[in-house]
Amino acid sequence: MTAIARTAGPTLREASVGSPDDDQALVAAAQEGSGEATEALVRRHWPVAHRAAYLIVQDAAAAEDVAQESMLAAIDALDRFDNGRPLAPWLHRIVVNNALKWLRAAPRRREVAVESAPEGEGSQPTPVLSDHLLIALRALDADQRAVVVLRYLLEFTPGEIAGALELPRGTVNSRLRRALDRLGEALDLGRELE
Amino acid sequence: MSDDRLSDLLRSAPVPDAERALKRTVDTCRARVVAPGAAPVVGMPRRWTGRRGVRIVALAGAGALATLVALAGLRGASSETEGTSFGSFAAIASTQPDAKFQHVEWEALTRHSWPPHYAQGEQYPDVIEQEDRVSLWVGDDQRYERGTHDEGRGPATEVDYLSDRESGLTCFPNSMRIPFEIVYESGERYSYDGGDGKGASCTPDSFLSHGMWTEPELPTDPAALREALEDEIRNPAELLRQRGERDDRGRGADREGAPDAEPMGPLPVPLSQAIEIDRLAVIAELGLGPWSSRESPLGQQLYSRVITYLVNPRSSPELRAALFEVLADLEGAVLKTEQTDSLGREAALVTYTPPRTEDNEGATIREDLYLDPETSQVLEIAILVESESGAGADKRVWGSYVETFTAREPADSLPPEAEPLQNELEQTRAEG
Repeated sequence: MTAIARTAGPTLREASVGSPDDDQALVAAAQEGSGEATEALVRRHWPVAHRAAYLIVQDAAAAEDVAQESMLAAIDALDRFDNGRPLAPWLHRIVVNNALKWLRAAPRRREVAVESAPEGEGSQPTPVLSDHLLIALRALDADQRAVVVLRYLLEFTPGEIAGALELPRGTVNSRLRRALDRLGEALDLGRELE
Repeated sequence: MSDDRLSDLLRSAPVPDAERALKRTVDTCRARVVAPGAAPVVGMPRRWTGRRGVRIVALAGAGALATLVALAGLRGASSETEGTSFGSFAAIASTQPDAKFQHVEWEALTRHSWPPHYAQGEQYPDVIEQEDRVSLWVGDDQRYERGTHDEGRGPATEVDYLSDRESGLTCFPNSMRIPFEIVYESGERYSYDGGDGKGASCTPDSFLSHGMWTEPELPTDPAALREALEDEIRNPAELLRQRGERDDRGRGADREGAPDAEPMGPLPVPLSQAIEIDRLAVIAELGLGPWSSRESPLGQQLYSRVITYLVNPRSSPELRAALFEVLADLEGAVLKTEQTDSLGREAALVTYTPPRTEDNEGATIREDLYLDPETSQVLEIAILVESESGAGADKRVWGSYVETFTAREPADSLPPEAEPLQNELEQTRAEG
């Protein structure tokens, strides 16, 4: 059974993503070959990267793989990263695209089992609204989940999402609109059940 | 529901614990940064890089990134063999006669059609077609090539050159010089008349450095050959270094062509230890993993290299025989007899139809290789990339490449058309 980490939003963001200035110093050190700086970067960005991956792929093992491969890809490319730009959006773009790649390949991977809704250790916890959100997210198309995660977790603008996913901006907006409609319906139902 | 509320819910939604994965990632990333390329880079002999590779690059040059990724992003399929065995082709290949020159006539049609969601500017057509017609004579000391490259816009580009191995010179006729005029904002003009009235000229060669000259220095034992081909695939930077080029991941050579740091390089630890450390790290290191999307899977790259060397006129009969043995063991290669190529010639057909990948934008790829059943020579190579949606006329073809060999024969000398270039070569050599 998968252990579930319940983490408060603002605390998570503060803990996992430091200021761009901090990132800049760490990237510079990592580019010079500092293992400590590399570890600090990975640890700092892992929670959001993993969370974004999980919310999109909805599979615990796959989320680990996606987050890990994205981190590796970013570290491999770090020597060519323009350190004058913020690191997080660049990394998150890699994560989301890797998550979508995984989902597109999933139907051809027989070993991938659809995971049931995540459960906590021990007794069944009382569902809260965020649990309903996960279930509602699962009902969305992968592309819709990706734009929701990019917009509302990773705080990309629609224009940035269009760039990250190489989509027309109108497509991003329509996907967001449809996703929000469906999420709203599911969450209304969730509230009624609570 | 407000945007802030949704953001809060996404930030607080329960996600599985991933502490072990984090630790694994930290360890692997640290190893990558601290000891990249710690082991010495093992040199490889210069090898023929392959016309087929050039043509696929030409596809990309036409803007067909999706097609290129699709062509490169194949995985091995199940093994199946029908009819005549690959081994019989190996036997035929090993008896091919050698000659002073190998004369090859071939033509290639590349067609790329953009998917509907790609917005193209007015200056870019939705369908791009290129046609190449080439006559080639390749020997131990000289290479003569003439032909045309036609993109359907304006006159076709003529190709005509003679390269000489010993002197390192390549000679062009006057027709290869292109007149041009530049008008600067200041009104100053700079023009070149194309050298009208001048004869052929010879210059230190750039063609020789592209590896298209030399015979493949590969083993002819099938097992050793496969290992060598896999080495080529796993060390693409070495090939780039030999050509003085650098790829978009920074691998290769610096501007002067000198070897530089190798970011992907050999593993910093022995393979067996690395596997224990992290399987994914090893896969990524080798460029074989599902996430290294720009790297073709090993099987597809092997297939591609086998074809490249099979059509290389400098490949020895022994090497070609070994290549067929490698092909026989390759997952996804299926041999069918009593087929015909696009010119209606009787042929044996090797098909390679790998499964879809996450990178091919919903396209399927089929590669067909037609072989002369009498001589084992390649008659035709066809690559088709088409959308998976739709049927019949709605099944959109994204890209196709058909390379047809109409002649392949031994020759004792270069053709008469090469004579002016040979004369110029002799004169240049005499002048020192």
